[in-house]
Amino acid sequence: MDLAAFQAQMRHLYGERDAERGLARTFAWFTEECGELSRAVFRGDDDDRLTEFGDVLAWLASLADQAGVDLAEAARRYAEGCPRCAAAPCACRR
Amino acid sequence: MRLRPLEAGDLDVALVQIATSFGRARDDALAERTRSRLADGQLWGLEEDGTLAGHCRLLPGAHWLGGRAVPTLDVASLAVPPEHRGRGVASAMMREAVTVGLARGDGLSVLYPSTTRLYRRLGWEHAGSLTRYRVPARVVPTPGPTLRRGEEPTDWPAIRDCHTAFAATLSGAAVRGEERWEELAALAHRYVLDDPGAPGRLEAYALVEHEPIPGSWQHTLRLTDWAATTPRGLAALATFAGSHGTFARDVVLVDVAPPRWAAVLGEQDLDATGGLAWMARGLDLPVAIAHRGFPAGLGLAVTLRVDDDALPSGPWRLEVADGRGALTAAPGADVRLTARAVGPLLTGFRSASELASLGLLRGPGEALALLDAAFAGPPPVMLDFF
Ligand SMILES: CC(C)(COP(=O)(O)OP(=O)(O)OC[C@H]1O[C@@H](n2cnc3c(N)ncnc32)[C@H](O)[C@@H]1OP(=O)(O)O)[C@@H](O)C(=O)NCCC(=O)NCCS
Ligand SMILES: [Zn+2]
Repeated sequence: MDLAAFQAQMRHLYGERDAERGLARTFAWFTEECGELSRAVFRGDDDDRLTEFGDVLAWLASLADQAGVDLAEAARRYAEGCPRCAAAPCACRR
Repeated sequence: MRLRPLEAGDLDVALVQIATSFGRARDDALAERTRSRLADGQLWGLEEDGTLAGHCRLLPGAHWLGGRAVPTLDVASLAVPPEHRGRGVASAMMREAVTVGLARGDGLSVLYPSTTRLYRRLGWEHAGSLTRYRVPARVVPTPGPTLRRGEEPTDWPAIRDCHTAFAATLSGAAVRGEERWEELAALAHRYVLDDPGAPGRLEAYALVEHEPIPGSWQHTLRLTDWAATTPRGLAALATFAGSHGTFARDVVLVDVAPPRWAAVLGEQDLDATGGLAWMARGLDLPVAIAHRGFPAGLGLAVTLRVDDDALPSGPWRLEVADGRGALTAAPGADVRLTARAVGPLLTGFRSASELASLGLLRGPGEALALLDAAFAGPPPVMLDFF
């Protein structure tokens, strides 16, 4: 599934509920999921990680949708190479 | 058990928890404020087997430290209803709040404790104060210029600017949020002192309330909010307060520590009438250090680590130069901090040497002296309660 399709799927599944929730609270949920992700990464097993990366991605897509951002377009920033030095792999120092 | 943002359907339960935890009347004003905080994503609750065992307010804040604003997670209104108390619900919530703050990229967490023990065990420590003072209106000298009523449409933004200029010079003061400004905007009496050198700018202001004293013909004059960015401004505020001497018994105000008002009074008439300690805890420390200001003209480097299992804790190298600081990964650590040492060190409430003598931090004397210099500053204070 590409990013645009993923964002559309999130809109289809939760768009209405998330719009009701509003940007501030959607962001609160996003941070809650980041907390879960941190636990999964540092203290969880592989299953936890798979679940939590999925959840964070889902909330990120919902957040982008509500903020009027097209994730696929945002991702293009990195498509050609490092946005700072334009090289791939990045050739910036440090 | 997980801490999650409250949803609209949680409002009723939250209101019952607020009423029973803080002894508050469940009126329309409380319901409205709670609803708006919920809609704003500030209310978080701990869910246990499908019921809300407690909730709290986690508000994205910022506090002035060393002249710069550090992003913080301000914790307030922690409420565990009686039927859920005494089995670790509050502690679990605060542990989770640390994770939320880290995910949000906050440098510190700040709160007013109703019990120190609960938070201290989890890494918060006393890190500043809020002190209310009282002085008999009659004894306040009146040598300065006169304030005018601040009712022009341009006065409110000028008042806000004056506050910001004042608060930015203090350590610990909150960067005021809209909710607090709205409360203050509702006060009926605003007085201001124009800066003659800069049209549209103020040297001082006072937002005032008159509180009747039961059974007396006198009242208390509350400077609910004030700021003075110049000596002339402070003299004008004193003059304003002193001019109430015939009908106001006392003037009550929040001041820094030591109080600036003591410097304009003739004698030691200013009494502290109520002090509150606030606590701070480190969250994302590289963020806290990068956002905080440091004394200009100081250059130093110290290696350190924090014994804190709740968050990334080093070892780091702290570098201070040109009024800025940076915390970068580095091997070895001269100074070892307990989690509880971070809050008071970063706000400047206690020096590294003092924290060492309290057993909260250890390291060679030379490194401690460098940390003492790095975090030196005025005693941290807050002007607002949240
Ligand atoms: C304070 C309050 C949040 C504690 O909730 P709780 O879930 O029972 O707290 P915990 O079980 O996690 O207790 C943790 C520690 O807090 C401290 N504590 C809890 N209740 C306390 C009380 N009534 N008095 C003093 N300390 C208390 C204790 O140190 C306790 O640890 P211990 O029992 O091992 O000594 C709850 O009693 C409450 O909502 N009270 C009214 C509102 C309030 O004071 N909120 C705090 C605002 S800052
Ligand atoms: Zn690069």
